[in-house]
Amino acid sequence: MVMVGKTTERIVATVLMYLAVVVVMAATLFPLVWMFITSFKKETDVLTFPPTFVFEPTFDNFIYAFTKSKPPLSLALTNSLIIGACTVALVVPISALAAYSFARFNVGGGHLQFYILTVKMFPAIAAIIPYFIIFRELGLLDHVLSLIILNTLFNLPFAIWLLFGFFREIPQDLEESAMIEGCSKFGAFRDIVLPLIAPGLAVTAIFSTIFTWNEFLFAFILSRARAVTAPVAVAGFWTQRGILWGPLSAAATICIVPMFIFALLIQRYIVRGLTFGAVK
Amino acid sequence: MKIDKEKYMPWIMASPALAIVFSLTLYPLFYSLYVSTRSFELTALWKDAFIGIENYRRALNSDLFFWSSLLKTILYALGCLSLEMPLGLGVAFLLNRAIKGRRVVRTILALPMVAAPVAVGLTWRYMYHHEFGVFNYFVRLLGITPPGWLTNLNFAMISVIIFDVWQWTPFVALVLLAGLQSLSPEPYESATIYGASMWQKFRYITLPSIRSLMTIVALLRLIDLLKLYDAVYALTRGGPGIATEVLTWYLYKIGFKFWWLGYASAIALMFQYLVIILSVITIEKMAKL
Repeated sequence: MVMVGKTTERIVATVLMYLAVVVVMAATLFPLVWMFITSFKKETDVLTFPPTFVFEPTFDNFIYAFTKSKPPLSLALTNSLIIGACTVALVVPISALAAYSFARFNVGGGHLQFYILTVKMFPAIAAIIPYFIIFRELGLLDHVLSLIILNTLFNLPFAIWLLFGFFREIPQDLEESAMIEGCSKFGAFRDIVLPLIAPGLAVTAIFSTIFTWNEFLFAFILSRARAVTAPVAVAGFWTQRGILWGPLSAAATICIVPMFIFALLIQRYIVRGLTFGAVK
Repeated sequence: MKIDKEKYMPWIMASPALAIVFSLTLYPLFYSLYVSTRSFELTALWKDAFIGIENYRRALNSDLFFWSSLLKTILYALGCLSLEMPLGLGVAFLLNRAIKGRRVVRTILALPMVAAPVAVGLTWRYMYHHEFGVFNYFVRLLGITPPGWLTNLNFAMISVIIFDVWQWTPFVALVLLAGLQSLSPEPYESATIYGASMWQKFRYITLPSIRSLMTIVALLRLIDLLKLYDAVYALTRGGPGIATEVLTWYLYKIGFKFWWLGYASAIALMFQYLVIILSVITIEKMAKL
Protein backbone atom coordinates (compact mmCIF):
# COMPACT_ATOMS: atom_id res chain seq x y z
CA MET A 1 0.00 0.00 0.00
CA VAL A 2 2.79 2.36 0.95
CA MET A 3 4.49 1.60 -2.35
CA VAL A 4 1.33 2.46 -4.30
CA GLY A 5 1.03 5.72 -2.36
CA LYS A 6 4.62 6.63 -3.21
CA THR A 7 4.14 5.90 -6.91
CA THR A 8 0.95 7.98 -7.11
CA GLU A 9 2.72 10.78 -5.31
CA ARG A 10 5.56 10.63 -7.80
CA ILE A 11 3.19 10.65 -10.77
CA VAL A 12 1.31 13.63 -9.37
CA ALA A 13 4.60 15.45 -8.76
CA THR A 14 5.76 14.76 -12.31
CA VAL A 15 2.47 15.93 -13.80
CA LEU A 16 2.60 19.12 -11.73
CA MET A 17 6.18 19.71 -12.81
CA TYR A 18 5.36 19.43 -16.50
CA LEU A 19 2.29 21.56 -15.97
CA ALA A 20 4.51 24.27 -14.50
CA VAL A 21 6.86 24.00 -17.48
CA VAL A 22 3.91 24.38 -19.84
CA VAL A 23 2.72 27.47 -17.97
CA VAL A 24 6.18 29.05 -18.16
CA MET A 25 6.41 28.29 -21.88
CA ALA A 26 2.94 29.68 -22.56
CA ALA A 27 3.70 32.89 -20.68
CA THR A 28 6.98 33.29 -22.57
CA LEU A 29 5.55 32.61 -25.99
CA PHE A 30 2.14 34.24 -25.80
CA PRO A 31 3.20 37.88 -26.38
CA LEU A 32 5.30 36.83 -29.36
CA VAL A 33 2.52 34.69 -30.80
CA TRP A 34 0.05 37.51 -30.27
CA MET A 35 2.28 39.92 -32.16
CA PHE A 36 2.62 37.39 -34.99
CA ILE A 37 -1.15 36.81 -35.14
CA THR A 38 -1.93 40.53 -35.04
CA SER A 39 0.33 41.15 -38.00
CA PHE A 40 -2.04 39.05 -40.15
CA LYS A 41 -5.26 40.68 -38.93
CA LYS A 42 -7.43 43.14 -40.80
CA GLU A 43 -7.89 46.47 -39.09
CA THR A 44 -11.44 45.55 -38.09
CA ASP A 45 -10.08 42.43 -36.34
CA VAL A 46 -7.33 44.42 -34.62
CA LEU A 47 -9.64 47.09 -33.25
CA THR A 48 -12.26 44.90 -31.65
CA PHE A 49 -13.17 43.57 -28.22
CA PRO A 50 -13.23 40.79 -27.18
CA PRO A 51 -10.10 40.00 -29.24
CA THR A 52 -10.57 37.65 -32.17
CA PHE A 53 -8.74 34.35 -32.11
CA VAL A 54 -10.19 33.05 -35.35
CA PHE A 55 -10.09 35.41 -38.32
CA GLU A 56 -9.40 35.66 -42.02
CA PRO A 57 -5.66 36.28 -42.44
CA THR A 58 -4.39 39.06 -44.68
CA PHE A 59 -1.03 40.37 -45.86
CA ASP A 60 -2.28 43.96 -45.92
CA ASN A 61 -0.24 44.97 -42.88
CA PHE A 62 3.01 43.78 -44.42
CA ILE A 63 2.17 45.52 -47.69
CA TYR A 64 1.30 48.70 -45.80
CA ALA A 65 4.50 48.48 -43.73
CA PHE A 66 6.64 48.24 -46.83
CA THR A 67 4.87 50.73 -49.05
CA LYS A 68 3.38 53.44 -46.90
CA SER A 69 5.47 53.67 -43.76
CA LYS A 70 7.45 56.77 -42.93
CA PRO A 71 10.43 56.41 -42.60
CA PRO A 72 10.33 53.63 -45.22
CA LEU A 73 10.77 50.20 -43.68
CA SER A 74 12.94 49.00 -46.57
CA LEU A 75 15.37 51.88 -45.99
CA ALA A 76 15.49 51.06 -42.27
CA LEU A 77 16.17 47.38 -42.93
CA THR A 78 18.92 48.25 -45.40
CA ASN A 79 20.50 50.65 -42.90
CA SER A 80 20.31 48.02 -40.16
CA LEU A 81 22.00 45.51 -42.46
CA ILE A 82 24.77 47.96 -43.39
CA ILE A 83 25.34 49.04 -39.79
CA GLY A 84 25.26 45.42 -38.59
CA ALA A 85 27.65 44.15 -41.25
CA CYS A 86 30.16 46.99 -40.79
CA THR A 87 30.03 46.73 -37.00
CA VAL A 88 30.65 42.99 -37.06
CA ALA A 89 33.42 43.38 -39.65
CA LEU A 90 35.16 45.82 -37.28
CA VAL A 91 34.35 44.20 -33.95
CA VAL A 92 35.37 40.61 -34.67
CA PRO A 93 38.97 41.11 -35.89
CA ILE A 94 39.74 43.98 -33.49
CA SER A 95 38.36 42.13 -30.48
CA ALA A 96 40.06 38.86 -31.48
CA LEU A 97 43.47 40.56 -31.59
CA ALA A 98 42.90 42.31 -28.27
CA ALA A 99 41.42 39.29 -26.52
CA TYR A 100 44.36 37.16 -27.62
CA SER A 101 46.89 39.65 -26.32
CA PHE A 102 45.03 39.79 -23.00
CA ALA A 103 44.60 36.02 -22.72
CA ARG A 104 48.13 35.00 -23.68
CA PHE A 105 50.42 37.91 -22.91
CA ASN A 106 48.44 39.54 -20.10
CA VAL A 107 48.74 42.96 -21.72
CA GLY A 108 47.86 45.64 -19.20
CA GLY A 109 47.81 43.11 -16.36
CA GLY A 110 44.02 42.83 -16.38
CA HIS A 111 43.45 46.53 -15.74
CA LEU A 112 42.89 47.48 -19.37
CA GLN A 113 40.50 44.62 -19.85
CA PHE A 114 38.69 45.71 -16.72
CA TYR A 115 38.35 49.29 -17.91
CA ILE A 116 37.09 48.11 -21.28
CA LEU A 117 34.26 46.13 -19.73
CA THR A 118 33.01 49.12 -17.75
CA VAL A 119 32.38 50.78 -21.12
CA LYS A 120 29.78 48.12 -21.87
CA MET A 121 27.95 49.17 -18.74
CA PHE A 122 27.79 52.90 -19.52
CA PRO A 123 24.15 53.99 -19.52
CA ALA A 124 23.46 54.77 -23.18
CA ILE A 125 21.34 57.85 -22.47
CA ALA A 126 24.14 59.38 -20.39
CA ALA A 127 26.84 58.46 -22.92
CA ILE A 128 24.94 59.79 -25.91
CA ILE A 129 24.95 63.46 -24.84
CA PRO A 130 28.60 64.23 -25.65
CA TYR A 131 28.49 62.02 -28.76
CA PHE A 132 25.46 63.92 -29.97
CA ILE A 133 27.23 67.26 -29.61
CA ILE A 134 30.42 65.94 -31.23
CA PHE A 135 28.65 64.23 -34.15
CA ARG A 136 26.60 67.37 -34.66
CA GLU A 137 29.75 69.44 -35.01
CA LEU A 138 31.24 66.86 -37.39
CA GLY A 139 28.08 66.85 -39.51
CA LEU A 140 27.55 63.16 -38.80
CA LEU A 141 24.01 63.36 -37.44
CA ASP A 142 21.58 61.17 -39.35
CA HIS A 143 24.49 59.29 -40.89
CA VAL A 144 25.07 55.53 -40.68
CA LEU A 145 28.77 56.15 -39.95
CA SER A 146 28.02 57.61 -36.51
CA LEU A 147 25.95 54.53 -35.67
CA ILE A 148 28.67 52.17 -36.90
CA ILE A 149 31.20 53.97 -34.68
CA LEU A 150 29.02 53.79 -31.55
CA ASN A 151 27.93 50.20 -32.11
CA THR A 152 31.53 49.17 -32.63
CA LEU A 153 32.59 50.89 -29.43
CA PHE A 154 29.80 49.36 -27.37
CA ASN A 155 30.19 45.84 -28.78
CA LEU A 156 33.98 45.65 -28.40
CA PRO A 157 34.02 45.17 -24.61
CA PHE A 158 31.62 42.27 -24.65
CA ALA A 159 33.33 40.70 -27.68
CA ILE A 160 36.76 40.96 -26.05
CA TRP A 161 35.57 39.29 -22.86
CA LEU A 162 33.72 36.55 -24.67
CA LEU A 163 36.69 35.75 -26.92
CA PHE A 164 39.06 35.98 -23.95
CA GLY A 165 37.22 32.96 -22.53
CA PHE A 166 37.47 31.07 -25.81
CA PHE A 167 41.23 31.72 -26.08
CA ARG A 168 41.75 30.59 -22.52
CA GLU A 169 40.22 27.20 -23.36
CA ILE A 170 42.88 26.43 -25.95
CA PRO A 171 45.96 24.68 -24.54
CA GLN A 172 49.02 26.89 -24.81
CA ASP A 173 51.38 24.05 -25.83
CA LEU A 174 50.28 24.25 -29.45
CA GLU A 175 51.52 27.80 -29.92
CA GLU A 176 54.59 27.25 -27.82
CA SER A 177 55.78 24.34 -29.93
CA ALA A 178 55.05 26.34 -33.08
CA MET A 179 57.09 29.26 -31.76
CA ILE A 180 59.98 26.96 -30.84
CA GLU A 181 59.96 25.90 -34.48
CA GLY A 182 60.44 29.53 -35.46
CA CYS A 183 56.89 30.73 -35.86
CA SER A 184 56.29 34.38 -34.88
CA LYS A 185 53.73 35.37 -32.25
CA PHE A 186 51.42 36.76 -34.86
CA GLY A 187 52.03 33.74 -37.08
CA ALA A 188 51.08 31.37 -34.27
CA PHE A 189 47.95 33.40 -33.65
CA ARG A 190 46.93 33.48 -37.30
CA ASP A 191 47.79 29.94 -38.35
CA ILE A 192 47.22 27.89 -35.21
CA VAL A 193 44.92 29.62 -32.74
CA LEU A 194 42.52 31.40 -35.05
CA PRO A 195 41.27 28.26 -36.83
CA LEU A 196 40.71 26.64 -33.44
CA ILE A 197 38.47 29.41 -32.14
CA ALA A 198 36.45 29.75 -35.35
CA PRO A 199 33.27 28.76 -33.44
CA GLY A 200 34.01 31.45 -30.86
CA LEU A 201 34.40 34.03 -33.61
CA ALA A 202 31.08 32.97 -35.12
CA VAL A 203 29.32 33.23 -31.76
CA THR A 204 30.83 36.68 -31.19
CA ALA A 205 29.76 37.80 -34.66
CA ILE A 206 26.20 36.62 -34.10
CA PHE A 207 25.93 38.27 -30.69
CA SER A 208 27.26 41.54 -32.09
CA THR A 209 24.74 41.31 -34.90
CA ILE A 210 21.87 40.82 -32.44
CA PHE A 211 22.97 43.67 -30.15
CA THR A 212 23.54 46.05 -33.05
CA TRP A 213 20.28 45.16 -34.76
CA ASN A 214 18.27 45.66 -31.57
CA GLU A 215 20.02 48.87 -30.50
CA PHE A 216 17.43 51.63 -30.29
CA LEU A 217 18.51 54.64 -28.28
CA PHE A 218 21.57 55.72 -30.28
CA ALA A 219 19.74 55.20 -33.57
CA PHE A 220 16.67 57.02 -32.32
CA ILE A 221 18.58 60.08 -31.13
CA LEU A 222 21.18 60.27 -33.90
CA SER A 223 18.90 59.61 -36.87
CA ARG A 224 16.15 61.71 -38.44
CA ALA A 225 15.26 60.36 -41.89
CA ARG A 226 18.24 58.89 -43.72
CA ALA A 227 19.94 56.73 -41.08
CA VAL A 228 16.91 55.19 -39.33
CA THR A 229 17.27 51.55 -38.28
CA ALA A 230 14.73 48.75 -38.02
CA PRO A 231 13.69 49.34 -34.37
CA VAL A 232 13.34 53.09 -35.06
CA ALA A 233 11.13 52.32 -38.05
CA VAL A 234 8.97 50.04 -35.89
CA ALA A 235 8.60 52.86 -33.38
CA GLY A 236 7.64 55.09 -36.33
CA PHE A 237 4.26 53.38 -36.52
CA TRP A 238 3.41 55.39 -33.42
CA THR A 239 2.31 58.32 -35.53
CA GLN A 240 0.84 61.74 -34.78
CA ARG A 241 -2.61 60.31 -35.41
CA GLY A 242 -2.20 57.27 -33.20
CA ILE A 243 -0.63 53.85 -33.35
CA LEU A 244 -1.17 51.69 -36.42
CA TRP A 245 -1.31 48.36 -34.59
CA GLY A 246 -1.57 46.07 -37.60
CA PRO A 247 1.36 47.45 -39.63
CA LEU A 248 3.30 47.92 -36.38
CA SER A 249 2.92 44.22 -35.56
CA ALA A 250 3.99 43.31 -39.10
CA ALA A 251 7.10 45.50 -38.87
CA ALA A 252 7.90 44.21 -35.37
CA THR A 253 7.63 40.63 -36.64
CA ILE A 254 10.03 41.41 -39.50
CA CYS A 255 12.39 43.08 -37.03
CA ILE A 256 12.32 40.26 -34.48
CA VAL A 257 12.13 36.96 -36.37
CA PRO A 258 15.63 37.13 -37.97
CA MET A 259 17.12 37.48 -34.48
CA PHE A 260 15.24 34.33 -33.39
CA ILE A 261 17.00 32.44 -36.15
CA PHE A 262 20.36 33.74 -34.89
CA ALA A 263 19.39 32.80 -31.34
CA LEU A 264 18.72 29.24 -32.46
CA LEU A 265 22.18 29.06 -34.00
CA ILE A 266 23.93 30.11 -30.80
CA GLN A 267 21.52 28.67 -28.25
CA ARG A 268 24.32 26.74 -26.51
CA TYR A 269 26.20 30.00 -25.97
CA ILE A 270 23.38 32.34 -24.92
CA VAL A 271 24.22 32.27 -21.23
CA ARG A 272 27.90 32.65 -21.92
CA GLY A 273 27.33 35.61 -24.20
CA LEU A 274 24.98 37.47 -21.89
CA THR A 275 27.33 37.11 -18.92
CA PHE A 276 30.37 38.29 -20.92
CA GLY A 277 31.82 34.79 -20.80
CA ALA A 278 31.74 34.58 -16.98
CA VAL A 279 29.35 31.61 -16.96
CA LYS A 280 30.12 28.78 -19.34
CA MET B 1 64.69 44.90 -35.64
CA LYS B 2 62.79 41.66 -35.92
CA ILE B 3 63.26 40.95 -32.22
CA ASP B 4 61.76 44.31 -31.25
CA LYS B 5 58.70 43.71 -33.36
CA GLU B 6 58.19 40.34 -31.66
CA LYS B 7 58.56 41.91 -28.23
CA TYR B 8 55.92 44.53 -28.80
CA MET B 9 53.61 42.25 -30.77
CA PRO B 10 51.09 41.77 -27.92
CA TRP B 11 50.72 45.53 -27.54
CA ILE B 12 50.46 45.97 -31.30
CA MET B 13 47.67 43.41 -31.36
CA ALA B 14 45.80 45.11 -28.55
CA SER B 15 46.31 48.61 -29.92
CA PRO B 16 43.35 48.92 -32.34
CA ALA B 17 40.90 48.03 -29.58
CA LEU B 18 42.65 50.22 -27.02
CA ALA B 19 42.78 53.15 -29.44
CA ILE B 20 39.08 52.92 -30.19
CA VAL B 21 37.97 52.41 -26.61
CA PHE B 22 40.16 55.11 -25.09
CA SER B 23 39.69 57.76 -27.73
CA LEU B 24 35.93 57.21 -27.87
CA THR B 25 35.39 57.17 -24.12
CA LEU B 26 37.94 59.55 -22.60
CA TYR B 27 37.42 62.43 -24.99
CA PRO B 28 33.61 62.41 -24.65
CA LEU B 29 33.99 62.02 -20.89
CA PHE B 30 36.10 65.15 -20.61
CA TYR B 31 33.84 66.88 -23.08
CA SER B 32 30.84 66.05 -20.87
CA LEU B 33 32.68 67.36 -17.87
CA TYR B 34 33.33 70.60 -19.74
CA VAL B 35 29.75 70.95 -20.99
CA SER B 36 28.40 70.17 -17.54
CA THR B 37 30.00 73.35 -16.18
CA ARG B 38 28.22 75.51 -18.72
CA SER B 39 24.68 76.74 -19.22
CA PHE B 40 24.69 75.14 -22.64
CA GLU B 41 21.30 74.97 -24.36
CA LEU B 42 21.09 73.94 -27.99
CA THR B 43 18.11 76.17 -28.68
CA ALA B 44 19.56 79.16 -26.83
CA LEU B 45 23.23 79.21 -27.69
CA TRP B 46 23.67 82.86 -26.70
CA LYS B 47 23.22 81.80 -23.09
CA ASP B 48 26.25 79.50 -23.19
CA ALA B 49 28.56 80.56 -20.35
CA PHE B 50 30.71 79.03 -17.65
CA ILE B 51 28.70 78.51 -14.47
CA GLY B 52 30.92 76.12 -12.49
CA ILE B 53 29.12 73.54 -10.43
CA GLU B 54 25.77 75.32 -10.71
CA ASN B 55 24.26 72.51 -12.83
CA TYR B 56 25.19 69.94 -10.20
CA ARG B 57 23.86 72.11 -7.40
CA ARG B 58 20.64 72.67 -9.29
CA ALA B 59 20.08 68.93 -9.71
CA LEU B 60 20.91 67.98 -6.16
CA ASN B 61 19.39 70.94 -4.33
CA SER B 62 16.41 72.20 -6.18
CA ASP B 63 15.27 69.83 -8.89
CA LEU B 64 12.39 67.79 -7.52
CA PHE B 65 11.88 66.08 -10.90
CA PHE B 66 15.43 64.76 -10.74
CA TRP B 67 14.90 63.26 -7.30
CA SER B 68 11.51 61.88 -8.25
CA SER B 69 12.98 60.21 -11.33
CA LEU B 70 15.82 58.75 -9.27
CA LEU B 71 13.33 57.39 -6.75
CA LYS B 72 11.26 55.87 -9.56
CA THR B 73 14.34 54.26 -11.06
CA ILE B 74 15.14 52.66 -7.70
CA LEU B 75 11.56 51.51 -7.17
CA TYR B 76 11.45 50.12 -10.67
CA ALA B 77 14.75 48.27 -10.30
CA LEU B 78 13.80 46.83 -6.91
CA GLY B 79 10.36 45.83 -8.18
CA CYS B 80 11.85 43.97 -11.12
CA LEU B 81 14.62 42.33 -9.10
CA SER B 82 12.32 41.15 -6.34
CA LEU B 83 10.19 39.36 -8.92
CA GLU B 84 12.83 38.22 -11.40
CA MET B 85 15.23 36.65 -8.90
CA PRO B 86 12.80 34.26 -7.14
CA LEU B 87 10.89 33.49 -10.35
CA GLY B 88 14.11 32.88 -12.25
CA LEU B 89 15.43 30.66 -9.48
CA GLY B 90 12.16 28.72 -9.47
CA VAL B 91 12.27 28.17 -13.23
CA ALA B 92 15.93 27.15 -12.99
CA PHE B 93 15.07 24.51 -10.36
CA LEU B 94 12.17 23.31 -12.45
CA LEU B 95 14.35 22.84 -15.51
CA ASN B 96 17.16 21.33 -13.50
CA ARG B 97 14.92 18.34 -12.82
CA ALA B 98 15.39 15.57 -15.32
CA ILE B 99 12.75 16.80 -17.71
CA LYS B 100 12.40 15.82 -21.33
CA GLY B 101 12.83 18.50 -23.94
CA ARG B 102 14.97 20.77 -21.77
CA ARG B 103 16.87 21.96 -24.83
CA VAL B 104 13.70 23.14 -26.54
CA VAL B 105 12.52 24.86 -23.37
CA ARG B 106 15.86 26.63 -23.00
CA THR B 107 15.73 27.84 -26.58
CA ILE B 108 12.21 29.21 -26.13
CA LEU B 109 13.27 31.00 -22.95
CA ALA B 110 16.02 32.75 -24.87
CA LEU B 111 13.61 34.29 -27.39
CA PRO B 112 12.33 37.31 -25.43
CA MET B 113 15.89 38.43 -24.71
CA VAL B 114 16.94 38.60 -28.35
CA ALA B 115 13.83 40.49 -29.44
CA ALA B 116 14.31 44.24 -29.87
CA PRO B 117 12.83 45.73 -26.67
CA VAL B 118 11.15 48.57 -28.54
CA ALA B 119 9.47 46.21 -30.99
CA VAL B 120 8.14 43.79 -28.36
CA GLY B 121 7.44 46.70 -26.02
CA LEU B 122 5.12 48.26 -28.56
CA THR B 123 3.30 44.99 -29.11
CA TRP B 124 2.88 44.81 -25.33
CA ARG B 125 1.39 48.26 -25.48
CA TYR B 126 -1.25 46.81 -27.77
CA MET B 127 -1.85 43.95 -25.32
CA TYR B 128 -2.22 46.51 -22.51
CA HIS B 129 -4.63 48.60 -24.63
CA HIS B 130 -7.48 49.97 -22.53
CA GLU B 131 -10.09 49.12 -25.18
CA PHE B 132 -8.80 46.29 -27.36
CA GLY B 133 -6.11 44.77 -25.18
CA VAL B 134 -5.95 41.02 -24.81
CA PHE B 135 -4.92 41.40 -21.15
CA ASN B 136 -8.24 43.07 -20.41
CA TYR B 137 -9.90 40.03 -21.97
CA PHE B 138 -7.95 37.55 -19.82
CA VAL B 139 -8.48 39.51 -16.63
CA ARG B 140 -12.22 39.75 -17.33
CA LEU B 141 -12.32 35.98 -17.84
CA LEU B 142 -11.09 35.67 -14.27
CA GLY B 143 -13.86 37.99 -13.18
CA ILE B 144 -11.59 40.90 -12.27
CA THR B 145 -12.10 44.47 -13.41
CA PRO B 146 -8.99 45.35 -15.44
CA PRO B 147 -6.75 48.06 -14.03
CA GLY B 148 -5.87 50.92 -16.35
CA TRP B 149 -2.67 49.10 -17.30
CA LEU B 150 -0.84 52.08 -18.73
CA THR B 151 -3.31 54.83 -17.94
CA ASN B 152 -3.62 54.46 -14.18
CA LEU B 153 -1.13 56.63 -12.29
CA ASN B 154 -0.35 53.89 -9.79
CA PHE B 155 -0.54 50.90 -12.08
CA ALA B 156 1.54 52.11 -15.04
CA MET B 157 4.82 51.38 -13.26
CA ILE B 158 3.63 47.88 -12.39
CA SER B 159 2.82 47.29 -16.06
CA VAL B 160 6.33 48.34 -17.09
CA ILE B 161 7.73 46.01 -14.42
CA ILE B 162 5.61 43.10 -15.69
CA PHE B 163 7.03 43.65 -19.16
CA ASP B 164 10.61 43.56 -17.87
CA VAL B 165 9.84 40.45 -15.81
CA TRP B 166 8.60 38.78 -18.98
CA GLN B 167 11.63 39.77 -21.00
CA TRP B 168 14.40 39.18 -18.46
CA THR B 169 13.33 36.49 -15.98
CA PRO B 170 14.52 33.94 -18.58
CA PHE B 171 18.02 35.45 -18.31
CA VAL B 172 18.07 34.86 -14.55
CA ALA B 173 16.65 31.37 -15.06
CA LEU B 174 19.11 30.34 -17.77
CA VAL B 175 22.20 31.59 -15.93
CA LEU B 176 21.16 29.98 -12.65
CA LEU B 177 20.28 26.78 -14.50
CA ALA B 178 23.80 26.72 -15.92
CA GLY B 179 25.06 27.17 -12.36
CA LEU B 180 22.88 24.37 -10.98
CA GLN B 181 23.93 21.98 -13.71
CA SER B 182 27.58 22.50 -12.96
CA LEU B 183 27.14 21.42 -9.32
CA SER B 184 28.63 18.04 -8.51
CA PRO B 185 26.11 15.39 -7.36
CA GLU B 186 28.30 14.00 -4.56
CA PRO B 187 27.31 16.33 -1.68
CA TYR B 188 23.67 15.58 -2.45
CA GLU B 189 24.29 11.85 -2.42
CA SER B 190 25.95 11.90 0.97
CA ALA B 191 23.27 14.27 2.31
CA THR B 192 20.64 11.75 1.21
CA ILE B 193 22.50 8.99 3.05
CA TYR B 194 22.44 11.08 6.22
CA GLY B 195 18.72 11.66 5.74
CA ALA B 196 18.70 15.35 4.86
CA SER B 197 15.38 16.79 3.76
CA MET B 198 14.84 18.59 0.45
CA TRP B 199 14.81 21.93 2.24
CA GLN B 200 18.05 21.17 4.08
CA LYS B 201 19.75 20.19 0.85
CA PHE B 202 18.59 23.41 -0.75
CA ARG B 203 19.52 25.56 2.24
CA TYR B 204 22.91 24.04 3.05
CA ILE B 205 24.22 22.74 -0.29
CA THR B 206 22.55 24.42 -3.26
CA LEU B 207 22.17 27.96 -1.96
CA PRO B 208 25.76 28.41 -0.74
CA SER B 209 27.15 27.00 -3.98
CA ILE B 210 25.20 29.30 -6.27
CA ARG B 211 25.17 32.34 -4.01
CA SER B 212 27.99 34.16 -5.80
CA LEU B 213 26.39 33.44 -9.16
CA MET B 214 23.09 34.83 -7.86
CA THR B 215 24.84 37.99 -6.73
CA ILE B 216 26.38 38.44 -10.16
CA VAL B 217 23.07 37.87 -11.93
CA ALA B 218 21.36 40.34 -9.63
CA LEU B 219 24.08 42.95 -10.19
CA LEU B 220 23.99 42.51 -13.97
CA ARG B 221 20.22 42.89 -13.89
CA LEU B 222 20.46 45.91 -11.60
CA ILE B 223 22.85 47.69 -13.97
CA ASP B 224 20.58 46.96 -16.91
CA LEU B 225 17.52 48.11 -14.99
CA LEU B 226 19.11 51.43 -14.09
CA LYS B 227 19.94 51.90 -17.78
CA LEU B 228 16.48 50.94 -19.00
CA TYR B 229 15.11 53.25 -21.65
CA ASP B 230 13.56 51.30 -24.52
CA ALA B 231 10.75 49.72 -22.50
CA VAL B 232 9.62 53.05 -21.06
CA TYR B 233 9.77 54.62 -24.51
CA ALA B 234 7.61 51.87 -25.99
CA LEU B 235 5.13 51.46 -23.16
CA THR B 236 4.51 54.81 -21.50
CA ARG B 237 6.89 57.56 -22.65
CA GLY B 238 7.22 58.46 -19.01
CA GLY B 239 3.47 58.85 -18.53
CA PRO B 240 0.78 59.11 -17.46
CA GLY B 241 1.95 62.48 -16.17
CA ILE B 242 5.37 61.64 -14.79
CA ALA B 243 4.27 58.32 -13.25
CA THR B 244 6.93 56.27 -15.05
CA GLU B 245 9.48 59.02 -15.57
CA VAL B 246 12.63 57.13 -14.59
CA LEU B 247 16.05 58.78 -14.59
CA THR B 248 16.87 57.77 -18.17
CA TRP B 249 13.61 59.21 -19.42
CA TYR B 250 14.15 62.42 -17.46
CA LEU B 251 17.62 62.71 -18.98
CA TYR B 252 16.17 62.18 -22.43
CA LYS B 253 13.57 64.85 -21.79
CA ILE B 254 15.87 67.56 -20.52
CA GLY B 255 18.62 66.70 -23.01
CA PHE B 256 16.74 65.99 -26.22
CA LYS B 257 13.36 67.64 -25.79
CA PHE B 258 14.31 70.78 -23.85
CA TRP B 259 17.87 70.71 -25.28
CA TRP B 260 19.40 71.70 -21.92
CA LEU B 261 22.55 69.79 -22.77
CA GLY B 262 24.73 71.42 -20.10
CA TYR B 263 22.34 70.52 -17.32
CA ALA B 264 21.72 67.06 -18.79
CA SER B 265 25.50 66.42 -18.91
CA ALA B 266 25.80 67.12 -15.20
CA ILE B 267 23.06 64.62 -14.34
CA ALA B 268 24.39 62.14 -16.89
CA LEU B 269 27.86 62.21 -15.34
CA MET B 270 26.55 61.59 -11.84
CA PHE B 271 24.40 58.78 -13.17
CA GLN B 272 27.32 57.33 -15.11
CA TYR B 273 29.54 57.27 -12.02
CA LEU B 274 26.87 55.48 -10.03
CA VAL B 275 26.60 52.80 -12.70
CA ILE B 276 30.38 52.54 -13.06
CA ILE B 277 30.75 51.87 -9.34
CA LEU B 278 28.20 49.08 -9.61
CA SER B 279 29.95 47.75 -12.71
CA VAL B 280 33.31 47.62 -10.98
CA ILE B 281 31.83 45.59 -8.14
CA THR B 282 30.16 43.26 -10.65
CA ILE B 283 33.24 42.73 -12.80
CA GLU B 284 35.37 42.00 -9.75
CA LYS B 285 32.92 39.32 -8.70
CA MET B 286 32.79 37.89 -12.22
CA ALA B 287 36.56 37.73 -12.42
CA LYS B 288 36.60 35.68 -9.20
CA LEU B 289 33.99 33.22 -10.44
